[in-house]
Amino acid sequence: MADAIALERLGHAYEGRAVLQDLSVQVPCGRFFVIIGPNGSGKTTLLKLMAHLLPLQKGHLTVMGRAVGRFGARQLARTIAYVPQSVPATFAFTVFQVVMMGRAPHLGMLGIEGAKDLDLGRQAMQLAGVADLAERRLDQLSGGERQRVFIARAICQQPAIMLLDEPTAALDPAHQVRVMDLMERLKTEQGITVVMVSHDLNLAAMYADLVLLLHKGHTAGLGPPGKVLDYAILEEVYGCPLVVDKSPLGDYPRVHLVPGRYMRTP
Amino acid sequence: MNGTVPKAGLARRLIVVALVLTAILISVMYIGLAVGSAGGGWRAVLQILIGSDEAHLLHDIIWRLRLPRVLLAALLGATLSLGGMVFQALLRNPLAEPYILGVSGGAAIGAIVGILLGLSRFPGVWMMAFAGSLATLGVLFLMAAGRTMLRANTLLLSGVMVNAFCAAVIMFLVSMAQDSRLHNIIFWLMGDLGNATLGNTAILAATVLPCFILIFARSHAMNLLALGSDMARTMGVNVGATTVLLLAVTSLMVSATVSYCGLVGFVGLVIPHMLRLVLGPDHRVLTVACILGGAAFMVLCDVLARTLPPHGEIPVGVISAMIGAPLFIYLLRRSKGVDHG
Repeated sequence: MADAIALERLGHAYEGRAVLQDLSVQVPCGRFFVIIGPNGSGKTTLLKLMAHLLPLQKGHLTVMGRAVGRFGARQLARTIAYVPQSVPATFAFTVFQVVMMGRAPHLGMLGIEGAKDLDLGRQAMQLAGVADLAERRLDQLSGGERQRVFIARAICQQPAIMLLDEPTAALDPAHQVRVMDLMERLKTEQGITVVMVSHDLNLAAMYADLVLLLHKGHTAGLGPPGKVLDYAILEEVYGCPLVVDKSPLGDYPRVHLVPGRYMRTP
Repeated sequence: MNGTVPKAGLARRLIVVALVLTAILISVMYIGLAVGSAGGGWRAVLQILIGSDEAHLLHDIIWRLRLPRVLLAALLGATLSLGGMVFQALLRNPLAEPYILGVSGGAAIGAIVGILLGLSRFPGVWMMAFAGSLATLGVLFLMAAGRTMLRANTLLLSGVMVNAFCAAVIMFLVSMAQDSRLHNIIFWLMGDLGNATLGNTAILAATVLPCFILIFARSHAMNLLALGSDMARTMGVNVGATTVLLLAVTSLMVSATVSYCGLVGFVGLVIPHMLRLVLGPDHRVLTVACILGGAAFMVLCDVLARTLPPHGEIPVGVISAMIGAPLFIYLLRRSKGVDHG
């Protein structure tokens, strides 16, 4: 299968401080790809590089088999949608207006939408479960609602690849599962490649086809959750004791944190 | 399908807003032509405008004095309102106004030097003011360029500092001025439409109208930019080029206008806010509304500036702030739970 995104010897540094080093990773089309790793391991930087939000400093990055630099801005926006961690709500746009902005790369300069675009916007809102919020103002929504609105906007963009930066971080368990289920549905029903940064090892275990474990800008593990979420690897990367067993729900690992009181002091 | 989902229809919304505001603008302009110290008459204006009564007493007054002045007021209001809207969108700061990048300070220094040198209002003082504002913009862009280029806060702080420095220079120049020139300087600083001619207004129009069109063309990009530059970029906006284009075009049209009319304050801050409160934040609608609504507001202010005092006139900037501030507070209180538009 072709690769949706392929990195070759990718490196990135902020003001001389290396954040990513010599990273070679392929994200196959139509997979659920989760990037995990400790704080500061370069997850968000990697996602932003994939979204072409940061200039490529070292190495190669291809999207759908084509060098990312050879895409025009609008062309790339028709291929990749990006959902950041948080979005400023400076002006009081309604939910529907924000969702319809996702059509921008498909429309003319003024973004005047046709009946087909309006239908796509409604469908996207239904999928993300925000249809009943359509006329509400963005600045009056809760964090979780706002996150789902931006996911609806990304769906409305009709991308081949969707990049999400910790979309479940601010959500309660019910909404976490809903967002993850939605991503899985987009993957299976529409063949969208989902690339997600997450801090939640168990969500990664439950949903990911492939997990990339980053550690200080290097690949510490890459493969199916069962292979990467190994306690020896995780303990070394995260620097804390962890217990990994099998999930009672299915064939994937389950990761437990270990409170300090269970640790015997020498 | 869910009943709460709207049938948007932006095109229709645009047309309705444009038609309503155009009707208001034309009515206000008609009032502007019909009233004045030389007297008026509703029907006389129409006869003179369509040319059926060239012998009328008011013929020259309307063609030479009132029409240029009304048109200039309309251009001024449209430019300042639209300029304020663009800066509020780009800097993501509701307190931004068209003078925020130091345009006003530079223009004022140029104009005052021009007045002190005894230059005529047009083109002498105008050219000096225009050169002054372009110079401050140049300084500002040089200061903001480099690593932190075009960061909203860098630009804002640089603009505030440029304006503060210019204010000191203005105070110095005013303190050195002779009484005879002082009146001219103060009227210029407060905004003055008294010297309009059809020719000059046409030159100004030829400068600012293309700017209006460019800004309208990037109005949807401003919507996307409201979600942050990362989001805008991933929706296909060339953020750097769009920001530079909008800043340059807006600064240019505001410079050209205030250099001619003086520093009319407040309109650029308040009209975009008012329209946003009423019409919502979509910049495609707001661009059209700011042009037409800002023009109508300024023409109305000018009518009051000309007619309220029994002798002479009040600077139009005084009127615009006196009406604008209370009106804005009323609208703000009426729309509960709004942080800033």
